[in-house]
Amino acid sequence: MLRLHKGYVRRGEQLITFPDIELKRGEIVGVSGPSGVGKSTLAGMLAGIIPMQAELHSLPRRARGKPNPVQWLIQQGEFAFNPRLTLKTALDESWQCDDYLPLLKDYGLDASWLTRRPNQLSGGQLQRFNLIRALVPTTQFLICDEVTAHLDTITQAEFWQHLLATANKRNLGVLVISHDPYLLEAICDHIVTW
Amino acid sequence: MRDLLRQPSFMAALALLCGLVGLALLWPWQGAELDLLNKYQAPSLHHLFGTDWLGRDLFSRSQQALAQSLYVGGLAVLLSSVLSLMMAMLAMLHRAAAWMVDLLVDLFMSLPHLLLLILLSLAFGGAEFGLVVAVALSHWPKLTRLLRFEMKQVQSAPYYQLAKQFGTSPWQRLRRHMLPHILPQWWIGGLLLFPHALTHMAALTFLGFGLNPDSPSMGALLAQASQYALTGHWWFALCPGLLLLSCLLLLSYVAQRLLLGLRQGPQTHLEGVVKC
Repeated sequence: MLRLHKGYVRRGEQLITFPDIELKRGEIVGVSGPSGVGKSTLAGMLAGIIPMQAELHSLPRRARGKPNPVQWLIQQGEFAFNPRLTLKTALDESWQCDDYLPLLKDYGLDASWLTRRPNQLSGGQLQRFNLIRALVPTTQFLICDEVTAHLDTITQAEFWQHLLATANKRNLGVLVISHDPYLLEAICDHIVTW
Repeated sequence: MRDLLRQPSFMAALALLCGLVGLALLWPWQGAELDLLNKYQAPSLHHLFGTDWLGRDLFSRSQQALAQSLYVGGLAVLLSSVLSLMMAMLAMLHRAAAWMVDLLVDLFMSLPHLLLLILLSLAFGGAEFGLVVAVALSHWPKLTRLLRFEMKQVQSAPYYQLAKQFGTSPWQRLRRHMLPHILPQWWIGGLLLFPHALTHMAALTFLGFGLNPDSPSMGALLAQASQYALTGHWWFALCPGLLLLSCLLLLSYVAQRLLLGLRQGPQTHLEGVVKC
């Protein structure tokens, strides 16, 4: 259970307040809101990168030296990977074994691309690698921060079909942050508006 | 890397540099014998660089000076750049450590450079040891500041923050995600320190706080030659100067090519590129 009640963060003079969010495993919740309102900050906070400030919050417990059960998918797959490492090294780092190989096929990725570096793949391919990297066995919740905003419609549809299938199979809770009302309508169980 | 070793220009430069340094290190004659019958001799086959005002063979003295300068300068630069990397990494550990490092950098950078060099050289007893320590302790702040900003940039990069999400240890993060990005900076920064350090050593020697003027060093040699520049003895300054210059240029060329080779890495060639 991922829960945030009256969350806020202070940026100098500015106070950003967050809407209340409740996300159970197996549920898909959408968050929409205008630009610059703090959606990525919310994602960073739920992923534990920005310190959490809230009246009431609950996050899954994170074991030391293990991956965070709440995984954050960022908007640009290009920046999610260390440009000097091959994708194999990046995926091995998160999975610590090569059990991700069957997943590659499900997502239409070629295993031979693993020897490449991020600048040798397209945005859509990188975003799918990014997703696979986050789908380590310990993952319980996914925070998708505008993950398909800069992909074309067909790639978007494919991406979400794969993601939803995996979420269903593994009983993941997914928080979808997006501008796109049609996308949120189509995939979310309920939508939180800022 | 392997491609680099096949380039004839790189290999030629490397061979020439190794040849020059090897010759300087292995040259058997000290060039200390006075030969007052043969003073002020212009360069000839017998004396390649000519002789000086005491009839000493300038070629031997240049070789000795080059070896001495490379050794002392190299040691000082090595110490200085290792120190700057250590300080930059220390600043990453904790906020208080970062504050301390920044304060030290500010302090060292606010003092006049030459004054600091003189004070440090005197404090550590002068001569070779004092000179090395003075150069090492006064040249780290600039590189440290540069590395600090580079590290901050990497720390705020999404991939570095995401690496934390996967439970990697700090040491692993440092080794895999931080160091490969800052080492080229460090390497080039250290290299750029080298000519800087050599000039400062020469300056200290010139002012009398550095090496013993009797022992041949590039600084002493050039400083003494400057008195003869207008009397027609052009080879006093030109020959050793050209030797030093060619060594430094070769060194920087080799280092830059190496850097390029390291940056490219094994598989960024065109074969595997996907057209997006």
